Amino acid sequence: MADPGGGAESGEVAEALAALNAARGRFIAVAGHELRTPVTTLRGLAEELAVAVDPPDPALLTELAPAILRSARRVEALLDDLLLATDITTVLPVGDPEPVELVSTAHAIWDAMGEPEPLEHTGDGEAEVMMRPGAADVLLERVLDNARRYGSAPFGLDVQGKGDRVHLRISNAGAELAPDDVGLAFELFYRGEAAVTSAPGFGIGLPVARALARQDGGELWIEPRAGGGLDVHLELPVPR
Amino acid sequence: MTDGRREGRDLRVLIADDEPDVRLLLRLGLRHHQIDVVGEAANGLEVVEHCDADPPEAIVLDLLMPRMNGFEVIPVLQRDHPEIGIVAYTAVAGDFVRREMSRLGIPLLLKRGDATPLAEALHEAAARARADAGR
Repeated sequence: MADPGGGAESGEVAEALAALNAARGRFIAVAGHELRTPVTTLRGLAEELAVAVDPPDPALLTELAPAILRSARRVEALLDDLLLATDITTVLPVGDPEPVELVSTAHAIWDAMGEPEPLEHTGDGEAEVMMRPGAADVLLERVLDNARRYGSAPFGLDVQGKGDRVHLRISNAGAELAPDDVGLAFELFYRGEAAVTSAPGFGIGLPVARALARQDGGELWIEPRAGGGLDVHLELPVPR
Repeated sequence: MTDGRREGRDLRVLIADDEPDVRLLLRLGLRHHQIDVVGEAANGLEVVEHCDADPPEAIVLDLLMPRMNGFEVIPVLQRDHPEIGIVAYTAVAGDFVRREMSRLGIPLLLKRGDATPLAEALHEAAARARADAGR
């Protein structure tokens, strides 16, 4: 069937694919660099561990054990992002938008993360929006994980209906963001200085979340909070 | 043997890397190779400060560090402390890094779990720097 808007749409698709290819190249470079250090460190520390246990050297073991655990956790977290980034080309879901309730979805994701601090809910009790199947889960998982990794309690979820759209604000306390970090937060594989020194990752969470919001006619943006921390704003259309 | 090991003493080495666990690994691994780690630095400024206060015989130098990176440190040390042997130690090295280290005459090693190649490179770099400084 002919599509009057097909030309413009295919141009956008080609542009998106070119951007994804460029991002994939950057990703491979970042992944290689980010993974090599913890993997080689892990191997070397394990060799030292073998020396430290025969004969037992309690002081050395006390120093080695947490270092090995840190390196192993870093590898694990990097691999989590690697899997998601590998899937970037297919992360934009297919199918028609359908109603999905974001408050219960957000709380289910938060609970599954095992975060001991609560996600404080304010505003409207529900937030039903239209998104493609699976998109809301990925979007909220990325935003909430970002808040948990790089922010601190209190964590908040505020919901406000705005006519034919719903506005969500996901907030966390924490360090003040540098101006560069705010401007580049949606650059794929960009990681702010505070993020680099506080937790491993590839810097893909917010770009993926925004791409998902936009695909379904929504928008996602961030605002540093006065005194430190971050507000992530999300607007999506409600069912007609 | 072409280095200080002939003299029956350990080589005095400074470790410069912004990753604490890498520094720990190097401190532990190098002690098996007649190397005495006399200091650690987490960025280039600390390297320069340490070398001015108590120059080591050789440095393990990570190239990507905050505040002052390894590329910026090398010319300063070559000017102010030519007697210190430098070994560049990095996770990955593209064409630019390889060319730049070759141009500066700095041996380049990729990070590994085994400290033996690094220890060899440090002893050789220290011996070469001593010889050059004595000319």
